[in-house]
Amino acid sequence: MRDTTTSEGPPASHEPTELARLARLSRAAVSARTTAELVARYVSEAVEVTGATRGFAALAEAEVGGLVLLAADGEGWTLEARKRRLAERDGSATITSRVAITGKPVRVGQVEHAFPDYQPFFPDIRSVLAVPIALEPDERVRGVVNLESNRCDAFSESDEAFVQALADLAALRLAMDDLHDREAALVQMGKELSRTSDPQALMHRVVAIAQEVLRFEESSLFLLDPGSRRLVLAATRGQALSPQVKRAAYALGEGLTGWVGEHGQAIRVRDPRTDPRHKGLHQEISEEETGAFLAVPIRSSAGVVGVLRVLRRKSTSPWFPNDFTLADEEVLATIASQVGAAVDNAQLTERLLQSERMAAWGEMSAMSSHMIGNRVFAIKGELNELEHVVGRGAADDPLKATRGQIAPLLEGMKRGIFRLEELLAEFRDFVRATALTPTPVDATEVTRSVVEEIFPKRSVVTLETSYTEEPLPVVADAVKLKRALSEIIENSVTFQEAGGGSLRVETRRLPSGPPSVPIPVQKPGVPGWAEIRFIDEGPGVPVADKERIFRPFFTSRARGMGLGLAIVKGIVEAHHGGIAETGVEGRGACFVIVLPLRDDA
Amino acid sequence: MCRILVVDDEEEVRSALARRLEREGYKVETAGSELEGLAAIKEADRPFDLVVTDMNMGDPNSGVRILEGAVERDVFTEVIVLTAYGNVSNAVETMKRGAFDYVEKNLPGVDVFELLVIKVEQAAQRRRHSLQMVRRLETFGGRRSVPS
Repeated sequence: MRDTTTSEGPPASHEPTELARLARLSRAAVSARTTAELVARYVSEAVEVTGATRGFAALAEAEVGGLVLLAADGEGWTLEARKRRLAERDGSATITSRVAITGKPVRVGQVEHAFPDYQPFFPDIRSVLAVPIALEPDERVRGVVNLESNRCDAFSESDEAFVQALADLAALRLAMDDLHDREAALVQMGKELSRTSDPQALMHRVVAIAQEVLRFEESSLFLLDPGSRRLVLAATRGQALSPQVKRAAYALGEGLTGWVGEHGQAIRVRDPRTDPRHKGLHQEISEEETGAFLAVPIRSSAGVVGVLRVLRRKSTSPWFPNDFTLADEEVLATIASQVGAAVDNAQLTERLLQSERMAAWGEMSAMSSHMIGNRVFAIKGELNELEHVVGRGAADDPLKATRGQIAPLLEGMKRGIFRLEELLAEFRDFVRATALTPTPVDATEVTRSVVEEIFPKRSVVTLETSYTEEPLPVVADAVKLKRALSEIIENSVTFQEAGGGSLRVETRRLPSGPPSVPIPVQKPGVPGWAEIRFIDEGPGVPVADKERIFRPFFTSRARGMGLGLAIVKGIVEAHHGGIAETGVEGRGACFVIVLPLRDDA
Repeated sequence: MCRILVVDDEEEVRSALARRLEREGYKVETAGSELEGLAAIKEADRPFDLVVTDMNMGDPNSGVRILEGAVERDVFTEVIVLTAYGNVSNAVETMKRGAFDYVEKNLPGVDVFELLVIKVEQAAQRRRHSLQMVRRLETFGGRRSVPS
């Protein structure tokens, strides 16, 4: 509690009614629905108990950069007066702002003697009692309770003690509200961090929560790019910086942000320009406007992986500093540690997903250069022959070659180049399979549209579909998912073209819990699964090949590199889903794909 | 007439090679895999004069086995191995085992079909010299041990 050196002495009264009043008022600190309600009540009580002519309470608001009138009681308060009471920004001359600056109470009985330059807001003021709302002497003053009287020497020491007690109770309530807000913000962030699998969306949520709930004015998140060792802007709420996302960057050690990244320690300053480390490279708001700067490191198991920073605008009131407090720093550090854990998590998932694919890379590059090289070699053969057939000679010599000699060579070259393009497309699809641009879609709708687009209009294969009527909301890259599904449909049609057969496409919703096929990279808290099945009457897949068909370069078709089902698997698993072939050899293939339903489904 | 066996698992490559070598007047047969190639070498009435084989036909050592098969049938059959561009160690290995030469399929900026024709001509020449030498030795020694 406050050290109230000027107000030692017994409380207002020891009479039972006064004690009962204090008890009621203490109780109100906890039971009042809102802080505004509580403060209004305290002001009325203070006016009543001290016999003041009027009173008011004002709270410091960071967004406004000064005091805001919260409650007023007593004589003379017109709507206009309320509005104007704290409107003058340069309030250093008022008693209220003096209390706000010094954190010390003021009690004067003849205000015109105590403060010769005092300009009373209400002309009748003779005595003033103003006490700060603050918990600790070095903490920023949260507000002021101000009582005025038209009598001289109207306020006693015990009046001051009583009003200060009310102000302390209000300060406790304010601190409690702050803690409650911060706890709610951290819980909310914790939930979102564990639920959101898209890192970009997650980073945007982090800065949004940091700003909105914790009332920081601008906030930006920088992540360390392991390649360039630079802190690259990942998300920001600052209008001026948002076009710079993924561009703006600090070298480690460069500027305040770079310093935090290099040393793994927080920086909290009022005016960044006064700090020798400041460089002013990328700014949410101009340096002149910046009133406070706070940056904390984001740590993962691998060390510092980023920096989270927040800014406040300069207060418009000269006495009201918008500094970040130690409590602000602690909250931001907590957020940063959650982000660090989420980064770890995301990288782990990514690694799991990539490790299998990376293992194929050595083979991949050898195979693709071999296959592409062979195509080019064959095309060179056609060119060599064309050159021979056309023959050398003067430019205007008549051509001796016949169309019958040239046409097949051109045809061969054309075919070779088309094949080359097919290989390149396949290669590209494989490489890009896991790079998704997900949007909310319905799995049945995607399946339906692929089947309509891909399944041949005239085919010896008959098509049957059975789609669930339940919604199957998923977050998916529709283009990639269609690419995956069309590969399976095309395979099925190709394998049944000779003998005829059927393809049955089904979708259905599975409850949460283990789905029908294994999921290699599972994300937590999946509310259920969308299942897509492709059942045909083709040759099926031998037991020994059921896993191998999904590996790169496994092919039983003459064309392409044999990446088809490896691409499908890559796409499905990048969606945190799974795929398996569960048919019986000789009776037909059955490809089952499951995808996690959206969180809010 | 000089007889050449072309072994490659890509149909387009096989036909392009055969066409180009036939233009030079060689008699060309083709095989589409390591197995087919080895069978052709073994079963031919007379050994091939030259074998042009791809190095990698599903297995990176297919070319080496074709080379071994060819030399086993006739130690004077000249073998030219087609390799991927930049795969020098692989090519050196075949040279150590007695290949006449190697041609990198995708040598940048070079018409490898013309290069191959030159190497095939040189290999055919060496084969002729080898056979003449053997014949002279046989005449000298009074017996024949090499098929004509």
